[in-house]
Amino acid sequence: MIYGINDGLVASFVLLIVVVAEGLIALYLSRTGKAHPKIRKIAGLEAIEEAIGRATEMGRPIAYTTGLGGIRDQVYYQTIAGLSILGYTAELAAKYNARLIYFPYDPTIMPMAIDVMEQAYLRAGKPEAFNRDNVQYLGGDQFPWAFGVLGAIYREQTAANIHMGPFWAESLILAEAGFYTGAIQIAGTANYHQIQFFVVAADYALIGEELMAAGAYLSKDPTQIGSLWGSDWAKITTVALLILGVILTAAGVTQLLDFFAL
Amino acid sequence: MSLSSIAKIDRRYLYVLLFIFVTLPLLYPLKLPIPIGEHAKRVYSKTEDLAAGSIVIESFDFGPSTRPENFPQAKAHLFHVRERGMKVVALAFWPSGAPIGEDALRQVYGSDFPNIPEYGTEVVYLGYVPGAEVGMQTFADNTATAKGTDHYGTAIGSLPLMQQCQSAADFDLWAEWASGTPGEQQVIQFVQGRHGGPSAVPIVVGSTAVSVPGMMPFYLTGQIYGILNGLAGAGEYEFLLSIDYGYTYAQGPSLDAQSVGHVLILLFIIIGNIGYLLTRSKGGKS
Amino acid sequence: MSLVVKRYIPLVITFIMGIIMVIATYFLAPGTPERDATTLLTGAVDVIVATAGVIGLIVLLRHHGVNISRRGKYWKYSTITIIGVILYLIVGLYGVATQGRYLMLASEHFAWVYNTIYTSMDATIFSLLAFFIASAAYRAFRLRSLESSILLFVGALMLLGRAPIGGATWSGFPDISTWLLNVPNAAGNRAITIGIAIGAILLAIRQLMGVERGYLGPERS
Repeated sequence: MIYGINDGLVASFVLLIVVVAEGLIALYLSRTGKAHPKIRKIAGLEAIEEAIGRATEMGRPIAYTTGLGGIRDQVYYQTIAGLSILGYTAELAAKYNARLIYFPYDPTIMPMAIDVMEQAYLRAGKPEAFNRDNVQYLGGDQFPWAFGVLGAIYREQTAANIHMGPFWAESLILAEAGFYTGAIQIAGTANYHQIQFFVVAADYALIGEELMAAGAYLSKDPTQIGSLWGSDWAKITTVALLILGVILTAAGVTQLLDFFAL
Repeated sequence: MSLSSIAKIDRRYLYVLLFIFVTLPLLYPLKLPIPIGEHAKRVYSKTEDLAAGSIVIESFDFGPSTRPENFPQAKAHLFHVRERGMKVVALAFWPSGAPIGEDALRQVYGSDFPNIPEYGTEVVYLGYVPGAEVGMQTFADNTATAKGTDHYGTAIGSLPLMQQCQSAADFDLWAEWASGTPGEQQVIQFVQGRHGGPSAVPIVVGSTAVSVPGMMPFYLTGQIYGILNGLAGAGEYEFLLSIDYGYTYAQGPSLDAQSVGHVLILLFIIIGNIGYLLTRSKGGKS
Repeated sequence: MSLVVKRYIPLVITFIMGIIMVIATYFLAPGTPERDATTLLTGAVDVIVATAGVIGLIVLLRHHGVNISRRGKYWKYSTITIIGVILYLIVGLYGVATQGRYLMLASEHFAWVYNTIYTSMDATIFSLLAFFIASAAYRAFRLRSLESSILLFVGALMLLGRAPIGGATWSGFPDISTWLLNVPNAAGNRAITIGIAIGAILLAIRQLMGVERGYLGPERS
């Protein structure tokens, strides 16, 4: 142990503190009104309202999925982001009187999703419009779930498919097959190995961190936007460290490199 | 039908053509030569450099869907470590990996596995270790805490090999056969990162081709020593083993089919672009 | 259920558990009783989540059962689903009961169904990706703009470099594809991975602080 920290985790801990500190400072500045950071437009999130409007005009439902994540796996943060967007989408669907069908993968997500949707319909002033049968659990295995969703998309002839969360091999199956139903497709994932499939096959794609920025982007909450601003600071710090590291290592100074080996 | 309509070929024709052309090399192999890439060479050299008696963890973290890519990789490596006289602790952090791991062990150690003389001293199969990433962390901290018995119900404490393999400090190599999560990144995070880094717990990985680009940052830093890149990686490893150990290089027809598939997709792209450019030159929409 | 129970208590529990896990990861050495205690905690979460399997079964049976009782759309497929689930459950439970101990694949019959039916279907569905990739590539890789042209060109190089036919045609293709993987791809993936990691850390901080709470349900009790 070094300074009481487990071996191999010293640099990780220091970086964690730096990232968290930057996030909290930015959050504080934004929340107290001392700063007004802006988020650039994210086309995929802007397109959700367009997709719901289209579904309403065509009289066809919207399919929504949050991928294969649960709440205790390593990619839970993507599922949480997907549920935030679900709340926004459900509120719009309620306002426009469009039918939104949600397909959870993990049964532990179901109660959360039902609560999120109920809250959304309540905010839209149409609590009676929420139908629990529109939350359809199709099984907890990758391909049975994916093909269940696909089957539902074909049978219901959805006008819009929104996929937000952690996806694996089923991403291309959903996006490509969904394309041929004529639905508008908005997808987002932070799984690096699937981003390219959504970029290629969906109409709008959220890449990596854009998915996690969704909560802040849609709510326009200064606290969340501040946290997002903090993540930009953390990235700038990372780039600065990279440049410094390259210069120092080239000059034969290895202390920074040695620190990161701790 | 105009030439520009080739920009909008019905996808079913593409599917039929793909099916036919990918099936043909499986029936009539082309016997294409296989170039050996640096990533596979590093897996091979790392395994060759280990001394007899080294303890290798073989982790079967994939399911039936990616079996065509991961299983040949895992089986070839298992054969290699057995030939080199190394000791194997095999396990799976995916439930679906457990029967696949057992199948690989049977194919390499004989159909009588685990009823073989070297079971318990040279090879142990723990089967499914629950807990995903936490299971990996627990296994690396204390192997007996992660799983009290092997896959067949025998207490860990009664297996001599497990007396020598009590934590990550005893691992000489971790071979991760993965197609998702938990996978190689979790091994880096929860095993290697907490137990001394790449020099203490070297990792070699066999993965689906789609996951390999994301592993490159870890490969370049040495956290992953070598990678078997999908089916091609399996073929390269089998080929190397066939030269040195007489292993059967079985992936030839599959790689021929893959090659034909790639060329066909390339042709589809070219045809689609010709149609697109013709349409655009006529001022239409593609 | 009052707001305190539904909202504030979960937030407090989330915060406490988050701090405990950070302390355990960074400050408690492996093998110490304190670290083992936190491992026990995460194991407890596994037990809770394992009940999700039961919830899933109940939800599935309810959904399809209601569809059958109402003679809804495709109710015959719902019947097949329920019969399949119940039969496999019986085979598994029978295997556990007769084997006398828990095994991954509870019995030969259970293993037969798994290997013959489930494994085959899983592999078949996964293999459909090959066809979808072909149609996606045909449709999307067009010379529409500079970026899509680069995508097309690099994609073609990777297609040729990653299969033996590329090396058989010209020895440079595998080397080019390896360079593409090692250099521009690694650079891009590093950036994406770092960005995602930072985003995930700050999302976790927002959750621990109770700022991100859309998943907790209605603001009102």
